[in-house]
Amino acid sequence: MIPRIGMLLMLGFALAFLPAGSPVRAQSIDDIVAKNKIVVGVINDLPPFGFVNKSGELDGYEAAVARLMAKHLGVVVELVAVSGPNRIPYLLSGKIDAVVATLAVTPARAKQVMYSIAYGDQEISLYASKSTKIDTPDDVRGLKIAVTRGNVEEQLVKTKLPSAQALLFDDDASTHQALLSHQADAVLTNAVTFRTLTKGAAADFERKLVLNRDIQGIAVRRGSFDLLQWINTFVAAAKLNGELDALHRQYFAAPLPPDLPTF
Amino acid sequence: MDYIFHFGDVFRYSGELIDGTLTTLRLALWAMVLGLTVATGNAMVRTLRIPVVDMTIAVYVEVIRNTPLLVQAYLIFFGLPALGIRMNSETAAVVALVLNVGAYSTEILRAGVEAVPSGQVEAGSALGLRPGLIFRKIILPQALKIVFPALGSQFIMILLATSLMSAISTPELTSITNSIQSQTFRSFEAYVVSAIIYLALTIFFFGVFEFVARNFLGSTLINRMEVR
Repeated sequence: MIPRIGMLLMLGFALAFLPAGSPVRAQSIDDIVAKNKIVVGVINDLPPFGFVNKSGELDGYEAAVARLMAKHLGVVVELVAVSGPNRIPYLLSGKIDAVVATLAVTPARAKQVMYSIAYGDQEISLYASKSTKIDTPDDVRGLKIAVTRGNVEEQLVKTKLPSAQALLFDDDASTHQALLSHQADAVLTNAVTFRTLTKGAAADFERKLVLNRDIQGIAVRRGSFDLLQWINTFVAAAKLNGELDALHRQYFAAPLPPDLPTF
Repeated sequence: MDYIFHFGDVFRYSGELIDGTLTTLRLALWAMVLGLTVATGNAMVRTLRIPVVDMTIAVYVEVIRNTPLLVQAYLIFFGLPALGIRMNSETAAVVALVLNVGAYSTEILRAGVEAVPSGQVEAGSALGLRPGLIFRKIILPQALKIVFPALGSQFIMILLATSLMSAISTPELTSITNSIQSQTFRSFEAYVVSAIIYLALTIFFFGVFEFVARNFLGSTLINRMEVR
């Protein structure tokens, strides 16, 4: 069928990929200062956390936090757009130095990355059209709920709303589009984004249930204790001197929550 | 190499992987069967030489061939509901795939039909056969035999293109793999397993097409020079 030489070539080609991926080291502050650049991954379709502004630049609360971080470190910031499923792989494979991309703090993720103390939070809620009756988690039986892969909502919909059918999308824009085009009956997302993304059409939808509150931390590769300690110091100082609060008010029109945990 | 492989984390999800593979197979089979039907129907209608119909088919083929499958899928899944046509993700995926492979197959089959010597058609009508019978018994079998390798490749391509349907939340193999990866963070292991499954699927279909080619069409998928 396929000539033997062809099979050998295919096998060799496949094996050639195995050694690929040289080990990506943990980083220290000196590494970043030496290359005078910190590459930060931010979300690009979840306003006001991360979005693309009219000039085509990455903007949002998290891009602003990343820029503030680079300013205090004295280096240039390079923002890279990442999505729910690929932000941790980008970090682990060395494409970015830090993740400031609505990464909710979970113990499962903490096995792969090291989190800084919280710089923000989000409330995960279920939204549906006003005519749909959902008062308790059991009311979602048989409904289609759109969620974005790689977010905490992916797990939440399985654990807290198991009787519903989950539609999984790779980015937040598609997830919200599914609700707007009525392909999904409900969407599990954070409150601020829903208000922002569906401004015009939001009149038809309302919040039904609040499921969880998550805190967000800046993530770096495991073993980068040096860098992590600096980031923790930066976040603590920015909270104390009001810089973080000012950014939060600018993007969320609300003050920074005073009870963000440190650990 | 520092990386420690954790394939066990991926194999824990073997149930989901099997479900995803079956969905991929289902999508591919629907696409192949209905796509071939669409192509055959178009070829048959083209022999009638009605200008309006010929134009419609030409427009369909050109629009589909010149736009990306992903955009077509988005249009069908997210766009059509605005016109009141709503379908679930698997139906939307099948529709997008059938339209896509149907367009390419129509072109491929058209080339095959044109390659059948016209003397055959003339002989058929001289023998008093109706046009429908000429198409079914004389043109179609020979056309299929000529273009079978190209059709086979197109079908294997559409099998692999089912992976794009993960973007409209169809729970096929790539979608499942993405979910496994986002929960276990074992990107390398998850995608290697997924690639191996796709490879196994394409080799399986290649074998099926080769079997059909040898036993029903008297040709082979890989064109070998035959000494007459």
